[in-house]
Amino acid sequence: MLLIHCPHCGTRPELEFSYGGEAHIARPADPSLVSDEDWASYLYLRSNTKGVHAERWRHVRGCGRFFNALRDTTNDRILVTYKAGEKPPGEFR
Amino acid sequence: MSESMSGLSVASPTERFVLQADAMTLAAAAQALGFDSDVVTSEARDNGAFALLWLGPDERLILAWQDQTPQIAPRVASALADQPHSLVEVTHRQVSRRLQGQSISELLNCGCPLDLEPTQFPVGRCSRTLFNKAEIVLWRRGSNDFHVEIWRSYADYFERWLIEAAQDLPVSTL
Ligand SMILES: [Zn+2]
Repeated sequence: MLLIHCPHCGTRPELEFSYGGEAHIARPADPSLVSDEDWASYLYLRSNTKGVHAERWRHVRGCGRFFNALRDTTNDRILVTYKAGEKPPGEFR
Repeated sequence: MSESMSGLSVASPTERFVLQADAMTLAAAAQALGFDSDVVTSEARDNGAFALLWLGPDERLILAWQDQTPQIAPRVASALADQPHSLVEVTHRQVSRRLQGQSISELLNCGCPLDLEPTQFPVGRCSRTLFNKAEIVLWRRGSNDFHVEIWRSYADYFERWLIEAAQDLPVSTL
C-alpha cells in the first residue's frame, strides 16, 4: 500500500486519501472580466505534466483537510507534501 | 461502559457533537468542558464527564458520558458566543463500540489500514479512518482497549466483519 504524508496527521495509508486535481490554479478574481477563452482554460485545461506535478489531495478519511503534493507522474513517487495555501518547499521550486 | 469486559461491547455516550472553529475558540470550548487545554493533533482525552477527540486541525468530536439532559451545548455556549463556529449534534448519527482484549489491534487491522503498533498509535491517540468500506473514528483507550465511533447504519456491517475476522486469529478475541 502507498503511504502518503498528510501535513496535519503524518504518514497514513493511501486508502484514506482522495485526489483533487492540479494544484495552484487560481480562480480569476472577477470572472466577468475574463475572456471566454481564458475562462475555458481556467476551467478545463490542465498541464498534464510528465514528471513532477503539483496536485491537490484531500485526507478525506482522516483529518478532512486538503493539502498539496509534488508527485512524479512517471513513477508515482510523492516527493513532498505541504499545506494548502503554501508554496512548495524551497528545494522543489 | 463495560470496563472489565473482554470482546465487543456497547459504549454509551449520552450526547455527541462535532465542533468546528479556530484554535482560540476550540481552546475556550475545551476549558468550558473542564479540560486544561485543547487536545493536540490526533489526541483524545476523557475527564469522566466529557471526552474530547481531535478529528482535524479545526474539528473536534465531543462525547458526554453522564446525564441524559443536554450537557454539551449549554457548557460550550459562552465559549462560542460571537465566534464563528459550527456546532452540530450527531448523537443519533453514530453509535459507539468498545473493543477490549488480547489481539484486539490485530483484529482491527483486519479492516483498518492504520499502523496500530503502540509506538505508532499509542494510548490516547484517536483518528478518523476506515474499517473496510465504513468510516470510523478509532480511539485507543488502553493497550488492548479501543473505542470506535461508527455511523449507525454501518454498525451491523462492522460487527459482522469483526466476528468473521476473529475466526481467523489464533487467539479467540470475540
Ligand atoms: Zn490528515
